[in-house]
Amino acid sequence: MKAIYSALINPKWEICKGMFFVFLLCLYHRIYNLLYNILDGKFDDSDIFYVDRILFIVLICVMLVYLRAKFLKFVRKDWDSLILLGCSYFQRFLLFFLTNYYVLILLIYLGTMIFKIQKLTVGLSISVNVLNAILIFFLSVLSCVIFHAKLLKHSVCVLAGAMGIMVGTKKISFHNVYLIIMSDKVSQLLFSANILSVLIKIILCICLLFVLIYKCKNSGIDVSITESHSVKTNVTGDFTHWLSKNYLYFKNYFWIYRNTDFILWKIFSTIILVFICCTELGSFVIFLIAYGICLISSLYFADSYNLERRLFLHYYMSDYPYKKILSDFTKGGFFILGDNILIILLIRCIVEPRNIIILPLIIITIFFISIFVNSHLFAKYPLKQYYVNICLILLKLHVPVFHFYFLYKCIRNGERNWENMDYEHDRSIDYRQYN
Amino acid sequence: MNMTDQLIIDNITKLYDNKYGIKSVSATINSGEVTAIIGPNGVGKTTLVKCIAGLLQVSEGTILLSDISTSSRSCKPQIGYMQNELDFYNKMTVYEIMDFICKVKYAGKFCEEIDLYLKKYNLYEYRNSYISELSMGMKRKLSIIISLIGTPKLILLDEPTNGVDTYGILQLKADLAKCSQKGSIIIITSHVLDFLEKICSRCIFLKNGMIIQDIRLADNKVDLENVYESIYIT
Repeated sequence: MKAIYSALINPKWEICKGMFFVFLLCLYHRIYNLLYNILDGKFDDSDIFYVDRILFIVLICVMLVYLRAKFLKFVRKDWDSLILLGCSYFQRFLLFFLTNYYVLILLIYLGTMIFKIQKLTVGLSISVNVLNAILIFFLSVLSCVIFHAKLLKHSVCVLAGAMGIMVGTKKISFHNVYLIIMSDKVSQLLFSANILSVLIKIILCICLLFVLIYKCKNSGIDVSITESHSVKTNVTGDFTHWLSKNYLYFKNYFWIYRNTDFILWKIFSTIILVFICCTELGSFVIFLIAYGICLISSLYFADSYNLERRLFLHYYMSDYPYKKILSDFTKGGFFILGDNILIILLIRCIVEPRNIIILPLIIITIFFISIFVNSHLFAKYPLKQYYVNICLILLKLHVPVFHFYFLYKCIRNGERNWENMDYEHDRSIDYRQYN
Repeated sequence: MNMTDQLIIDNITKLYDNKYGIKSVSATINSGEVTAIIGPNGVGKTTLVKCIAGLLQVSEGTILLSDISTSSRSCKPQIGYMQNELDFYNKMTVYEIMDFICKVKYAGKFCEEIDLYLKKYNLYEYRNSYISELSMGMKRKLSIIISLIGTPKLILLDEPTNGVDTYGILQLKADLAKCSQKGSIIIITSHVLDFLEKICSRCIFLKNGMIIQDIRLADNKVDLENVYESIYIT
């Protein structure tokens, strides 16, 4: 079980998640105050309660949909392997829970914040939200087992239609919704910690567990889930096709955003930069933080470099010039490194135009990091040793004056190597492991 | 395309650690000719095709396409190569890989052919699917399209029929006939003799890395099964 679990998780991703939660915990009071101030600034006292409750319902729905999608992915990807490894139903569900515990922690974290606005103590909020999280976990798994993709789609359409008719005939109005959400029953069941609501939730959890066991034993979860399986498509495909048809350098940019680690890092770095920009710190500190973010982001060039190694045959079967490939990677790398930084700094400059000086400075810096790291990675393309030396490349970047010499040398070496590339020799390197 | 283009394979030998992969192979293939390379597993069909594509360096001899060595980079855009191993990057979509190839190999030309070929081979609805989501047959069809796009001077297909559905094979036949008419030199390796008999004008039989028989099908009616049996079975 332990071995299977360690095969299912990505240690790098787990460390990132851990860091993210520590960061969130440290900023708990700041985020709470920010949320409360936003609500307080826009709504009066009774409306704060109402909007806060709406937020909680939205949070539950988002978590439910997300967990359902995660469970479907888990079944498609790992379910059969786990059966072959002899895992029981309980072990499989436990593995799903362990690999997705962060969703539940996030729910407890945000739920506790929302409940604090409803004047509940932190201790009670956490205990109520732990129950809510377990309930949502069971509901998301059951929704996969009971509702097939088609059935769910039809049900949602019917519900949306019914809702539309009721709104149209004024059977449902904003006032009605307000009354329902603010009613005593909803308050007691969802937003309080009385014995009755806790008992109802525990009973509900047990019932859902029994239904799940019954469905697993009788109808077979495997069949009902695999039935809803279909070929996955990239929804933005036509758009990215148009872009990459005209601008090849976007290829790596789009591709790198399919890397979960990278998305997490981008979100994390964006949050950090936004926080720094919101403080009274000067432009120089912001520049340094942005520079640090760029350096860490450049570590992801190794991933895009692995993509190129897989496309080696197609490069080899073409006469694509080195200058073009370096230019593509530099442009693509520029966006990979600095997309979020540039957007944030641009907004900052629009709000405070006197800060505009930082913008060209950071553009030049990002561009230089991009060309420096990419030229080093491709100096002996597609040799493997250049994959591991990215830290050394970053160290070389910080040798003043000489870095221009290193850059020149790498571009020259890369061009020479590109023109005399040998497929047979390079194929002996095993790069299949990176797929 | 020049109808006088020729592929000249001049006495090539390929050694793998002092063992012969192919030995003293010579042939001249003219423009518009569809040539099959036939033989059981391990006789050197894929090695020969890879040598012609310039992917493997020959130990002796030369391979020239219109007087340019096929191993030179300037000759590569003239070669459409479908490899036997389906070596795609799984996290790219069908469109992305096609765009990438058109851009890299043909500097953005023939991009308009992508949709046409995808529709022809029933892959259009999967254009935004990741490669990992495609079946083996679909991947092979994609590989066929990659080798045919732009109608290069030399088309090399290494076992193109493996796992491809009947519709795909019929489409491939039609496309190869068109390319042949336009003057492409086509070389195919396959174990399906019926398929080869219908599309090829010439068959080269390999044994122990050497050409054992070179037959022109257009000249006389030849039963490939009988030839195959006489060379390899009896």
